[in-house]
Amino acid sequence: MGSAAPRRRDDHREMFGLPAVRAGELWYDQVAMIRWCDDSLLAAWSGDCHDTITWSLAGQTVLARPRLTARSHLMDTDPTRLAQRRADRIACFRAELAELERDQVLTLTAQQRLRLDAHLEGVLSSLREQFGVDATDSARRIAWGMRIASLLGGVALGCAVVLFLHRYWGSLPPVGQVVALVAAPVVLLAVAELLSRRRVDRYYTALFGLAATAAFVVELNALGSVVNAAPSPHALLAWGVFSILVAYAYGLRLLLSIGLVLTSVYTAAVWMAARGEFWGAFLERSELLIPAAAILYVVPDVVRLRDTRDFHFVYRCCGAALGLVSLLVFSTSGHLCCWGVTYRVAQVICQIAGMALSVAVIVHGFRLGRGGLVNLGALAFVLFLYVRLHSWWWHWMPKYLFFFLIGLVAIALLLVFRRVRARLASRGTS
Amino acid sequence: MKLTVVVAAAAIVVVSNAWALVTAWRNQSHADGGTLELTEREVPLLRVPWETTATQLELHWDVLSDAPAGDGPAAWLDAAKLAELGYDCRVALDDPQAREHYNSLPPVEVFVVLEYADEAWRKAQPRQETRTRLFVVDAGRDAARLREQYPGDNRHVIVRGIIRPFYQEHSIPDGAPLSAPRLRGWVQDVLPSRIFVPQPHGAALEEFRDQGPPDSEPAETAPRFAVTISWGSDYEPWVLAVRRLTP
Repeated sequence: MGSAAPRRRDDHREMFGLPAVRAGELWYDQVAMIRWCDDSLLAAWSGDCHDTITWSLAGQTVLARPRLTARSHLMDTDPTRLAQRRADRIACFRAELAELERDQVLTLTAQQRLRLDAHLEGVLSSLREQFGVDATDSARRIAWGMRIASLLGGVALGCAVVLFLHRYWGSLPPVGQVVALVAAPVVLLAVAELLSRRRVDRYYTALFGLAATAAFVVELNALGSVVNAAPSPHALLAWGVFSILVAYAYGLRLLLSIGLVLTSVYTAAVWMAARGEFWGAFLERSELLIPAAAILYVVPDVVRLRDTRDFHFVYRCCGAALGLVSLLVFSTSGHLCCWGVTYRVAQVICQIAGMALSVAVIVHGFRLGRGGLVNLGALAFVLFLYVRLHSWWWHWMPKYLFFFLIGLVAIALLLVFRRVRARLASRGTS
Repeated sequence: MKLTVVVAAAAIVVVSNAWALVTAWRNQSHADGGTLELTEREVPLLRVPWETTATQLELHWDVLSDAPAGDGPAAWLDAAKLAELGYDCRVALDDPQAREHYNSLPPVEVFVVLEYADEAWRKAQPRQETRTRLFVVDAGRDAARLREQYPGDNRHVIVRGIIRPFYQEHSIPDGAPLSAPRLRGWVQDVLPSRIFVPQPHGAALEEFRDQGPPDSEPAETAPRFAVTISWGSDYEPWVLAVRRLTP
């Protein structure tokens, strides 16, 4: 958790050798302000927050930070993420301090510099040790490499399990085959749990969590092949719930996404099977995914639990992506013709509805302050628009003219998004 | 709390595998689908591009088509049969939206009848180039009714399959337009299309797996082995016996 709220002061006298800073009409200890200026705590302390947090020294504004609304920001109390944010703030603070010194606005004495550097290094060292944060740009870039390595490692381990079983399958007795299949995901899950308890770097836990899920998918498929079972949609439910549980156990957003998609697909598959249709063709009935997508999207509003891992964002993204893709596929399929309207009219209605929903996702994303949702809605809007334009113009318009107009539409969209971004930036939404 | 979640995840693995085994055991308790002895023509070894000691067979089947070269849809899978399978065939074939309607209908999972080395194969002989003697000859939603029509006689088995309709406007394979569009159906697949061979039967087929596929043209090659397969109460197969045919 972040530290306690900074102590207010009546004036701007120095404390701990550093001048106090001003936020609105109040003065705070500078060191304490650095520790405290945390987004989630700002949301909790909304009663004390002003529209803009201003750091002032000697009457001059040296740093201004827009306030985030309590609704626009998640209550993220995940220790690792808070620790990373603090490391990022320290890096920003150091960069800003260097700028101030270059502009001769603020000059620390040698003693102040020593004490400040010692303090900050101590904090960073502690954060690195406890939470494995990335304290520098280089470390952050390597962190992305580690994420990719973690993902590839998980998939590779799953493949290794599969090929190992293939190689020695014939020499195993039936009981041994079943034990080997069941043991693979359970052992990998146990390893993930062991690594988590020993507070090993989170990438290793993620790797084994992902490998356990991949192994479960593969082994259940393999067992189905061994007993010559016809494909069943219920496997999707098992995989989906497993992924969700492992995601919640270790804070793995990718696995949560996979689990949510699998369980959503399961609802559509079961629905199709109940109608006597082959469930494996669920993409041909993509409209059956829309109810599940809608439920996913509203889960964060309905289930008001503390979101420590930014999982609410995952629910919304999965719901929005699944719903919009389903609607796009649905709008281009041919089975709309029997709604009492012609196929073409139904197609237009669905695509316009898709564009409207995309805009709704963009607006909601802005309100929540989630750029990911905004981008998702924007991408969906562009896709729906291009599909509609293609349907209107492709068959009769000269192709060079078609692509020229598409280019103009793209430029117009860029201008619109740019204006919206500028307006929202001025309102302090990230 | 976290340990509870992890234990629940592990429990899902165990329970789902146990359920798969229980349903397999239940399927093998009664051979309701029937039993056939098929040869390498109908169930050749599955080839995989990686090293494996697992033995699987591929189920090769065909349909009796009314197309000249025999590569069209099943002759028996017409509009009446599709309606019997539950498809909405009320849209007139000359309706402007008929093509979109029928081509957008999803496939259905039904029971299909596999016939071995009988009437369908004999009729197909002059016209169709086919190595397999296994033909899909009928389909229905009610397995019991199909069983009454095709009693267990070592020539017919009831299995699961997937049927899909399509709106035919051109003849197959020359593509010439038809005088009037027709509603036909494809037998998209038989489920499962691969059959695992457990030990010790897998050991008997090991030499054939190592030898590779026969070099000759399919129609000229004598099968090297025969496999007795039963389909159970869930209409899923399992291998009963393997017999070598070549000395």
